[in-house]
Amino acid sequence: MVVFATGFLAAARVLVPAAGTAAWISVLIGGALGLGIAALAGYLAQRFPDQSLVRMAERIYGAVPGKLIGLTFSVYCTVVLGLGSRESVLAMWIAFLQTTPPVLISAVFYLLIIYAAYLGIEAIARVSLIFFPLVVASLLALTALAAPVAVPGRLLPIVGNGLGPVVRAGFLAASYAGESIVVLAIVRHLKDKRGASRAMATGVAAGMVIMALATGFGVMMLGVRGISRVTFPVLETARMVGFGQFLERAEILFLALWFSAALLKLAAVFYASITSVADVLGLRDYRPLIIPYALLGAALSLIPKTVLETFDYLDVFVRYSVWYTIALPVVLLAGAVIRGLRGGGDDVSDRGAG
Amino acid sequence: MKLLRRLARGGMRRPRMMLGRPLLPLEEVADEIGTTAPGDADSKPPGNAGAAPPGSPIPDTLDGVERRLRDLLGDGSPDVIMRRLVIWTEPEIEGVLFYIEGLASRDVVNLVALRSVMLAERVPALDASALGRDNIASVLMTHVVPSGQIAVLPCIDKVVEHVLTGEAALFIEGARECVVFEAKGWEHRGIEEPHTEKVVRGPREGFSELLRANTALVRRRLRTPDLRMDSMKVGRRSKTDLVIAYVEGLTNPRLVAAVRERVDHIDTDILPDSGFVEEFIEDYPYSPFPQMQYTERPDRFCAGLSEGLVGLIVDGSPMALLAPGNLASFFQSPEDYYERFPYGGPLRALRYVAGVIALTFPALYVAISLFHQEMLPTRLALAIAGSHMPVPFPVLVEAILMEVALELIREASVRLPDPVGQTMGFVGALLLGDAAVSAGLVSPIMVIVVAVTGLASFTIPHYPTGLAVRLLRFPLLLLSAWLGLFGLMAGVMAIALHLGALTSFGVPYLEPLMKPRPSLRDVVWRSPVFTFNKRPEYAEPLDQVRQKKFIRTWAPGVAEMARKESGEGGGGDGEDGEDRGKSGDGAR
Repeated sequence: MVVFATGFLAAARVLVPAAGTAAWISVLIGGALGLGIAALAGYLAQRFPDQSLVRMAERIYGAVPGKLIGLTFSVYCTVVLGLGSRESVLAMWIAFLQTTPPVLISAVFYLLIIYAAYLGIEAIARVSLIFFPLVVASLLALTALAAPVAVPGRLLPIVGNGLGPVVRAGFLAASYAGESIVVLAIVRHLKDKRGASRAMATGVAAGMVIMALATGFGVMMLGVRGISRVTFPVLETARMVGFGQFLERAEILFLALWFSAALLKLAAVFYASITSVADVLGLRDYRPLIIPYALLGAALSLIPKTVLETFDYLDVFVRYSVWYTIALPVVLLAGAVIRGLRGGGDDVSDRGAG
Repeated sequence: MKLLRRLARGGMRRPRMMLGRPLLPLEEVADEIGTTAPGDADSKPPGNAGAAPPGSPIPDTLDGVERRLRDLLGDGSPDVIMRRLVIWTEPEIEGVLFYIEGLASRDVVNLVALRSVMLAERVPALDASALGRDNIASVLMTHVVPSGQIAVLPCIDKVVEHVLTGEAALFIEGARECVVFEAKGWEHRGIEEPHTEKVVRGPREGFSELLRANTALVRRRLRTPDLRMDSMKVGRRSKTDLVIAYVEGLTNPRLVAAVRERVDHIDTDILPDSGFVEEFIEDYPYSPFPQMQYTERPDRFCAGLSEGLVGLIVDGSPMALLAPGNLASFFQSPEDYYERFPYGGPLRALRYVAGVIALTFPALYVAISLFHQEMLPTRLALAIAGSHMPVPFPVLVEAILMEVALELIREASVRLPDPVGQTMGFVGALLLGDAAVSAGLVSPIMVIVVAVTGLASFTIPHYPTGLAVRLLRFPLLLLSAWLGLFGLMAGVMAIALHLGALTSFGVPYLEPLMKPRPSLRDVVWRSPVFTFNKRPEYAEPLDQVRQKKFIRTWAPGVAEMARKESGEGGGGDGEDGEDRGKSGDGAR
């Protein structure tokens, strides 16, 4: 769930130029990699079921290095937040509200994120669970409706730009899947810790399959060149779809649903981020951090000046963040295994979420 | 004097063995009448009465008694009856019968008190010389006054309290104690069809204002001895009786304790209706959404108790409360279960759809017609534009005008008497809509939108939930007029997040929707009753198994399935997959 929310909106934009017609295969490769990351993270979560990420790191590497690792994590989350929110806001702005200043959309977006973070992870989780089937259904509906318009021939040649680029693009796609490490920060709120890794894997798999579908159909409908030209390929795909004589351009409905998904994902990321910072600072309540941190995220999301610049940033981010998402669980796990540590009863108060 | 006080502090006296004959085991009855529920703050059980002095003792003379009663109740109330009589003893002893006319039944007073005490069917009069001032009341209680609920009380304040609930008291010259017996018999509304929760098929009995009648309705449907009805008194002046109902061994004791604690904390003057209790004890009083279920239907109340919920019945209110509530329960009508399941499921699903329509439809219309005209097929867009042409207002104003008018009609027809109210609804809706269109104030399409929304909001079975939805429609309208569908979605997300954070007695408001399989079975859909082998989990009942997994084993094929199942896993109630990953999925 965490994974694909923003991913599929622009993923094709990044992947298709790199992998050509085989972008959807890249996504699947990325999904496999993501599953690996999720497995690592899930194992880590099982080992330290009652601890937040920062507490884990502190236990494994001692207070100061642990805090540093925690800080890198929250930096990562902040970047995800900033880029993700910019991307979603842009999608809204470009597609529908050209006359509205994007800052206003951004403000509404951040107000909602602040509200969600204030309510806590439980609320976010419950709402996600309700919206998840809706989003999946919307995508399936889109796929079904797009089928008549799609031209499977555009997927040829299967290997696209060649094996190398496809695999390399797979790593880019894995960056989206890698965002599932955010779950590490909130895993101690789960009632059923053992289900965590499975749930993570399911989320990654479902997300990546959907992303592959979206990318594949995007290519089938718009062609490689077409995709490289538009900003939000999936949106364009949706635009080409009509419900018979009833609703002509239903993309706004889809976008509204996806917007909710993006919001929930980013709210979760935001929550993970501020709770980690709160842990690093040793605060008991994360709530005082919400407003300043939201401002930070909002400011960060405004750094790219133009739409194109946003995508450049995204390109760069996608290229490098995947290594971080692999490194973080690996480093923690390695430390834990070498020192033979396991999560015992920590004093962390469980807020009894679920 | 010291002795007297100690006696008084000792609380109610138990009947003694007198006249050498074994007595009936009246202790329990006496207990019931002399004390209220454990935990009730202002009446301690007699066992530990030493802690708090129970009030002033009964004066020695009857004149003193009458004077004291006049002090307590005032002089002028004509319904306060103090009737002097002579008790059938040898030598004669005087007494005062004290009751409130209208609360106490005339028949009971005549038959129980006057006839038996004055005429005393026992032919030889009671030998008063053997009776002292300590035991005469007990003897009267055990031997003379023929009443099921009866007690002797040593303290005049308590006596007055009991009499004000409809009992009658018999003071005896010189006695330390007073006989108080059940005589309730006031006028009240009979058991009628519930007005707010109508069903086509199903029982038509509804709760009334009388607490005892209501508890009896519940007892009749739940005959298990485990049904508990803990009584409490709330309201400093009203002293309203309140019953906390639950099933021992099924309802989670933590839930019962939480309800009791919150009710205990209520400190108010009067309690006119269960709505007051609701507001005092709910988790989030500032949320627009109701967090407790209320019902007029004893069948629904009992169904709730059998699922591990805690019920609250307040004297004087026909609306019983069930806790914890959740969003799903407000979309269920008992009829979903009384009618066969092929209709129950779609109807319930329809109600959820109606809920969404009621919340978002006008906002959606405003957003589309202001911001996203491209979504509509050209001809429809032209039709909308054409119908809006003569209207002098922006779409938002138009929508708000019509919505407000609809709310006016609704409110007016609720307050008016039934036949007038219905006419009013028709006239209001038809005439107003038609006239508004022909006057060019609103477009016909807007009338349709508002009418559909209104209809949809009335399909929500739980009235306050419908109100909440109607209330939230207005901010959504404003948001979508401001930012189009984005604004609408933002508003919906805010509401969804609020719902996600809401709890009722600690139970998340959306909990029943969280797990796909049970929620498909009996939350958004309704499966056949023979598949409800587990109780809903949100109230965390102690016993989750409601019925066997395979019941229709006489039907072809089912017996084999049952055999296979028991061969594999043993125990027919394991619903595999249901418990898995409860929150594993939950937190993502």
